[in-house]
Amino acid sequence: MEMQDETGKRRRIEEKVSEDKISALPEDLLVHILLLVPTKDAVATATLSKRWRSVWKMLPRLEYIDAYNSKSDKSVWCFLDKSLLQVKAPVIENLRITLGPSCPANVDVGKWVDYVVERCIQRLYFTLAWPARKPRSLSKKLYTCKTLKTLNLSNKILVDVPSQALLPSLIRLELIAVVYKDEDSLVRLLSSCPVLQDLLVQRNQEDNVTKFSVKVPSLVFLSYVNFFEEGSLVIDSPGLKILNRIDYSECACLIENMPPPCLDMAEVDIDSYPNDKFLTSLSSVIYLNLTLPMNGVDAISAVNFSRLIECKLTPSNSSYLWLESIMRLLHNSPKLKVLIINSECYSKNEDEDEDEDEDEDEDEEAEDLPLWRNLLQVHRDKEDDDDGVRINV
Amino acid sequence: MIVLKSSDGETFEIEEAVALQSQTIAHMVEDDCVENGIPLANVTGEILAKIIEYCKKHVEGGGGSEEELKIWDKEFIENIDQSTLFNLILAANYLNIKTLLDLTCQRVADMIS
Repeated sequence: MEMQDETGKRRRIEEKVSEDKISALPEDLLVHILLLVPTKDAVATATLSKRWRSVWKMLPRLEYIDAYNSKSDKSVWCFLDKSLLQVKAPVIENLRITLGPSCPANVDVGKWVDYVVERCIQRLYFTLAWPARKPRSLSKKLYTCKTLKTLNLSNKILVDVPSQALLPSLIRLELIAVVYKDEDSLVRLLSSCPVLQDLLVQRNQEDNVTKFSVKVPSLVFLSYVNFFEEGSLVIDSPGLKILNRIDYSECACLIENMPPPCLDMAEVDIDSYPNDKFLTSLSSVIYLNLTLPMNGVDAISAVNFSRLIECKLTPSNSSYLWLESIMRLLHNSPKLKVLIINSECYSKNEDEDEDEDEDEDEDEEAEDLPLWRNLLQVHRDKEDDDDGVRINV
Repeated sequence: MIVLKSSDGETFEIEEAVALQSQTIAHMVEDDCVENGIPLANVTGEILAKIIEYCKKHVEGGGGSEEELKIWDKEFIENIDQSTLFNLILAANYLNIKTLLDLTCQRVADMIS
């Protein structure tokens, strides 16, 4: 059935392009056109004519994506195996590979790595979406690639980093639910990236790393997600400006070497009580988005936010204690212009019936929250005064 | 106003804003060599007319909504034959008009996939 489709398709393509006018275009224009076409179809143009035989091989951007959850479809692996090693582009700008459960189990999924490293690969996105299989490691050459700017490794990949690792061009690193050989491997990986700016991490349950240490002097943006109870985070990156942390573990996050605090933006969603150092590191932010347990809100309100302009709070439950904490927060945030309170829980106490479900006011003109009216009035007063705060509770 | 001369001797006078959508022409204007009109040896009058039609519509976003412009583009590209399409690609490449090049290449890409 598939064979018929292939020949039928080929004939259709031949009809359309057989004018040969299009084939007479210079190669770089043909490549430009093929870039707009799915990889599979682009490679199929090789059969059109002599002219087209090698055009697709110059494509600098390629995608081999298995449908994530379909077990019955044939894996893209066979196609990848046949075509990737024929690519002749001097620089591979983008390569995306996602192999799903339909990929044969015993293939050497890493053998193309050496080849693309030689072709000066710049951006690589590699996912092994194999729920039932063991993680696989990749060729060591990946970790000494001079040209790699973006690297995304996802799921069943075993990050096994050699001692001589060096990624001199890597700017963005995404480690999504991968497994590490050991903590040293992770440390070696992060130390091998002298110009790394963005790091995105999603922890896996048993990834062989207890303390996830982010010691990267050049780092500007860190996104750390841990849905599991184990696993702690230590940040030692003095240049960090933006922090996103979703962390449901019991462990506090340690931030080292950040005097004075210089974060510009933080989005934090945690279950545990934030420690002092962490709170201090948040004090410099201009934009803050917090989801905290109740006692956490209390702690936050003790911090002096000298630069805070916009703040969004989602407390995990509400009570009258809330209001005092908010007052203190306003008092400690002289530049605050926008305060958004996202109250997700129903109040247990009837007297405090001001909780609306899923309420989000985009600015101070919220009519729906009568309790907060005084609060917001206070807020407006703050803006009018240059110094000094009058708080009417 | 800028004067463009096609390879087969036709001249077209167009507003600067229309002509500047071509990066090639824009550079020439910067380098100040447009005194006696710009000769385009690689583009025939027929193709140049089509290109000017496109550029006129696309000056500053086309004056209509994005949707309207997309519809206009669709009609524009669907009403030309292969030979014209081929020549448009070459001309858009030579004149460095990114949006037109993308439109024409996408047309061929759609035919292939």
